[in-house]
Amino acid sequence: MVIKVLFFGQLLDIVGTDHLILDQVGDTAQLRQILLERYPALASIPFTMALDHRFVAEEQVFLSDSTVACMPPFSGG
Amino acid sequence: MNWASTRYQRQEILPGFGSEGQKRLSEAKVLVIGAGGLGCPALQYLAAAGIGHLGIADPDVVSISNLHRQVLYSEQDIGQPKVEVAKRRLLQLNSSIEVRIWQEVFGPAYCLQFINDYDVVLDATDRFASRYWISDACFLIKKPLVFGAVSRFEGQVAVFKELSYRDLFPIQPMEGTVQDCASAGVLGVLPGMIGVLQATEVLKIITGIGVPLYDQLLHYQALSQSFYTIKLQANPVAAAHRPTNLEAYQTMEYEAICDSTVPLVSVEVWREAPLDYCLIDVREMDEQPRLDGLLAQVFPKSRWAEGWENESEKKLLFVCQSGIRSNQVAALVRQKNPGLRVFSLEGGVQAMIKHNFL
Repeated sequence: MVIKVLFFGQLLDIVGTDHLILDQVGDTAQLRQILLERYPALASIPFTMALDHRFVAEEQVFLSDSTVACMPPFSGG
Repeated sequence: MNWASTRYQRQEILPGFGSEGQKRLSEAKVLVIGAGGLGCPALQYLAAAGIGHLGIADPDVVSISNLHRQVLYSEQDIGQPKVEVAKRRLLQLNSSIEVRIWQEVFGPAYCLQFINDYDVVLDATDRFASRYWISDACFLIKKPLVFGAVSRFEGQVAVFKELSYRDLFPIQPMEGTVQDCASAGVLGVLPGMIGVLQATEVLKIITGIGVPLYDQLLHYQALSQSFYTIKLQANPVAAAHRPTNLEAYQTMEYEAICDSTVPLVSVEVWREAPLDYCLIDVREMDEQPRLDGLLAQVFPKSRWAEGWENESEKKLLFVCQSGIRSNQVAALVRQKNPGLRVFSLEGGVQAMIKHNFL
């Protein structure tokens, strides 16, 4: 399963790019695990996931060409 | 002088707006909490559009580092309370509106009486503690909340109606884990963009034009001029962290829960002298692996409101799965019991596993 992962806010600094194309990722739980293994610093920042523009409340299985957005909270005003 | 007939002519001729839309604006009461980067542009456009009553709350005075983005203020205002300058400027812009000001940010203990008086609340604050108490209050009393936040070159806008900020981020982040404008910086025009988007949502909600961003998050990236929208839905985790009634709300420790100054103890330091510590597991009962072999006390965070009594003479070491909740509970315990020696296990159970301790 090929998916596109988008990063926002501070996650951009940690990952070093605004998106990744990943292969062989089946669901959101697996994606989270892969990201934390590759980028351990992600563990220090809370972020939420959205699959194809819909917030992921419970773990979800990816379809091919899914886009996942990883969004951290912003505090500034 | 009566300018009313011509003042709003350009918006009254808009399809779907009309004199009825203008009448709704003139009868509306909007509460803007925070008169900084987001609050300034939002307030200017809301006042200009003819919102009949604006409430503004902000504890700060104007400083020189505000001026690159907080466009209501000038050099001669430095040192003056923001709310007073804002009120003066807004009434110069539109003398037909009412402006009520508070040089404070209410907090959960007594914000409800103010929020109740208003039709829409606009969150223009700059700290997580206030974002969470505003969102929880609006959720409890079913008040539409127009949320906005910025970071560097990016911003977020949402309108919470059936949902709340907790559905997006259930657990209040510790101050310091997510960068604020003071440490990360912010492009001056960015809060301008986001504040104006927030004002736009307020006008839509009140007049009924268009489709407000109800229970959606809009992300804006200035560097690529791009928007990204996320449709929200109820988050089961949020329910465990949000106060369920007014009493629980008013006693919730929003400040302490964000306190990032609780001393951390690493797994290495703890395992050198485990008997020096009373280990307290704040995870829920279904979280694995359990710490039974380590003689840990069990006190799930969800039962915090039921009260907790310390019975140990040792240093108290709170532990959870990753170290975030344990830090929050430790901060609360320390606030209620200043004499206790309170610590949080860095990295939590995950760190114990990583060091092959479990």
